Amino acid sequence: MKEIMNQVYDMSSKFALGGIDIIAERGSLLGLKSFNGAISEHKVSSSQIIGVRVIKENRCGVSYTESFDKDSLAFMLQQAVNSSKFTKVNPHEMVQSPGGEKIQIEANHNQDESATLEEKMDATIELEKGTFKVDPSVKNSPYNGISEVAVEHASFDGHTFTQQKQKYLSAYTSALCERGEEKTMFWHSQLGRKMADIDFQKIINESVNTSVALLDVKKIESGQYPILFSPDMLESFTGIFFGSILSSKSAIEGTNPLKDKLGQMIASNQFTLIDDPTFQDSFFPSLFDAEGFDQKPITLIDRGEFKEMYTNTATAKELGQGHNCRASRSVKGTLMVNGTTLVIAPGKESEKNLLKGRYVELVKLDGLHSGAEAVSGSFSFGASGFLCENGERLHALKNFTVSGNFYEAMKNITAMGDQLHTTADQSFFAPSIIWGGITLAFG
Amino acid sequence: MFAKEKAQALIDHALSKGADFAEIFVEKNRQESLKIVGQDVQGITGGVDFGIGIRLIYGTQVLYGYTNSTELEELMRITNLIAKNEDPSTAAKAFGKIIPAKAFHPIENQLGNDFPLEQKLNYLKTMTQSMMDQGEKIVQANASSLQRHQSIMLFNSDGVAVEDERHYMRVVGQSVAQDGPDQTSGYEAPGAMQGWEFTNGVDPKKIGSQVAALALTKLQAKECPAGRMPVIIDNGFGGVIFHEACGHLLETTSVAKKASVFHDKMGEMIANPVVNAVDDGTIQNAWGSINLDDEGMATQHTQLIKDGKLESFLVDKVGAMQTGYERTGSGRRQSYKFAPASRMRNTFIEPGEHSLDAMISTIDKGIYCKKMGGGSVSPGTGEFNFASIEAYMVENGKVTHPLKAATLIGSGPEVLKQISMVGNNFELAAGMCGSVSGSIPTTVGQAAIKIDDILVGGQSA
Repeated sequence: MKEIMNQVYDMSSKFALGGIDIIAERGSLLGLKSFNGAISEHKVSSSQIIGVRVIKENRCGVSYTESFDKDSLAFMLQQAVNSSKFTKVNPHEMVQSPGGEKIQIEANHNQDESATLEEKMDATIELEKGTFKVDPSVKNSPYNGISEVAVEHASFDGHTFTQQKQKYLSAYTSALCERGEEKTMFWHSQLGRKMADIDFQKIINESVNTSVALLDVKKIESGQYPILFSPDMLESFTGIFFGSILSSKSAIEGTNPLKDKLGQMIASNQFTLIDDPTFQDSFFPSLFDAEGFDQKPITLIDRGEFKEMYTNTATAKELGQGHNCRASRSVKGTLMVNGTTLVIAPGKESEKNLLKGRYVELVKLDGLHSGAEAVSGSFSFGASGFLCENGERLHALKNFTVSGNFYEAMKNITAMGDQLHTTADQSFFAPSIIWGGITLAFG
Repeated sequence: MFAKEKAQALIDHALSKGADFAEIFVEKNRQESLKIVGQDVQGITGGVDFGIGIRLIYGTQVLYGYTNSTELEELMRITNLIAKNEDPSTAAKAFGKIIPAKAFHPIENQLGNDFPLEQKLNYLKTMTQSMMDQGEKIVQANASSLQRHQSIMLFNSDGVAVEDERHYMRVVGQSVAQDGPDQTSGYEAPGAMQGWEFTNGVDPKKIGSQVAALALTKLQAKECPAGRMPVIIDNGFGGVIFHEACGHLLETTSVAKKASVFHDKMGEMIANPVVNAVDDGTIQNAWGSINLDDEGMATQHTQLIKDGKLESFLVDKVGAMQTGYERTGSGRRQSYKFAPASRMRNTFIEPGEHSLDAMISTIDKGIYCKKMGGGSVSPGTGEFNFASIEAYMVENGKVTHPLKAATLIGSGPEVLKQISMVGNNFELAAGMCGSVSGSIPTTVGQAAIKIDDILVGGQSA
């Protein structure tokens, strides 16, 4: 990849650019799916892509190609330069980097897989078969699979070369259960560096046990209840809004509704949010950002007070502050900002105290992509979960809606647990949190 | 783009490994995206995607590989990685001349050979200016366009050798309104299977004023009531209800796995007799239209439901092998990175006879959803959700005040029987649909419909 990026860099010299950064990626994939006791889909791939961001006369242009022949590379460069003629003059956006080589290739993240293809196929088939063994209510297991991914990402701007490589494997299964007229479906997944890291029985049990538990459904009165999200649902729910309010790019573009709230209380004083690129249990640690700058943990919300947004060199300059090394850029895109591993700091309540009394635990939210508006904070989703009391699930709740306003809900957090939990992909960490001000509606 | 001799060699090689069927999908995709914020050009992005997908079928088992390389050696390597090494099956049919797909969807201006960038950017700036002209409460005005030219070649062991050109054009207007601490947004995104000339029929001033008006209206919105009630869902993107509640459940992707609640309902009444529903890939220049599907079959008009009775599923090649139903030209995929699967095209409930006013007048207390957002469905249980982004309270047969956004939930079989009136104001609307073979352009549509009873997830319980 270094060779092709050098070639593009050399080719760019004729354009008298103010700067160029080049990103190249290549990867391979193995995907297996099973159904009816056999492998139903077997997918392999090898792929490559290269993209450029050019700065010319304080204007930025981007382009990319999946074809690496010389003509395609020349066309990509010409297209980026042509585009730059029309974009807004932005003296803040330059190609800036610390210089040198930044390499993140950790042996632990690039382990050789000892399992054979046949063993992976057997494991995929067993994911489906295993669901039927756990409970007779399981009538179907339509979605099962294993994906094995190897990715290499590199960038070069004539000054700094960065390179990251990693391999990982994910496995998932689903359980469609029936009892009388009642039908439920639940799926679960897990990520590992190699197949031996995956606890297949745990994936099966989580899928089946939750799906079966959701069959025991009763209705309750519509109204407001204390709410506990499962870790995966909490990440999905908060992610819709954090993506907007933590972005300095959105603030500059006017679509960050909390852009003027830095230094103000925006959440309960129990709530502290940290972006920690090297959090010890994170599956995706990050040593440097897309501009090559070393990353350190930053506190975004400190005991309810909005402290920082993600910035890169360009957004920080425009806002008149120092950057916090949260640049991101995809091969096809412009310079953006993004976080790493989000950690909601644990509170003081023991889990036992936290879960005293009645509350509703949400394990599935439907319509997350369409039922929320980040600008206003309003949300309305379909949901499944459980009515709980003193830490015990009393019965399932299904086919109801969950509605409210996220920015109000952040202020209505009533309790935070003292233990951290994580998501299936270990990219988000949070304690159990009891949320108030959320309305449930049952038919 | 790819020599048929190479394709022949690769398919012969795949069949020598015992595959019952082999297919090569070659794709070159050129795209250009423009974004205006206020009156500034925020971004111009574009590039070329290119790759080749190889699909082998053994029985009903699908083996798929892809690469960016056109080298026969690399394509053979990918084939060898997925192939089973069984005894050779019958020989592939030899290709004749590569046949261009019949172009049902003519275009005037192909990407890269159309209008100067200045002209396109000025069109979008007119849209954002129109938003800002709606008053000081409009604090953000964005407009963007996405233009795409996809060239494909498809070869298979049945002797099919075809090529097709697809042109997509979409414009997006988005505004943010603010009044004190309250912020709301408005959004419109029309699209077509056309070139930039599509914009001739899309007045940027009108789109701009519409999205600004929507954001401003929502500033006045009151909390939406929660609970079961009658709901009128208006035309156009309102058709997302049928897309989610029924369309996905009729794809053989879920039917074949018995992961659809309709898998055993062919020929049965699954909807109110007033419901007639269609999936049609032939509508000229519609966003979800195609010439050929991504398995090389000519597209068609498929009657899904007639007078409430289930008449057809959406069937791709593997779905046909698994279920025994005839293919419907519905095999679609996002790109060469995906094996095709049965997917929707332009899917809609056919118009009825009622006026919107007449339908609203039948409701004592309920909701009129003028504009819908997206949604999703769990095929196995039939449970779906979709979001209303512009809604009004209906009291005593009259529309009274705007309501905050709410999600409507239910199950497909249940809601299809609750549709009691279909209006006469039919309209189509563009959207993107995500599923097993990626994200593809699809159109939803309907005239206004009345659902007698559905759960509304409002804030006011």
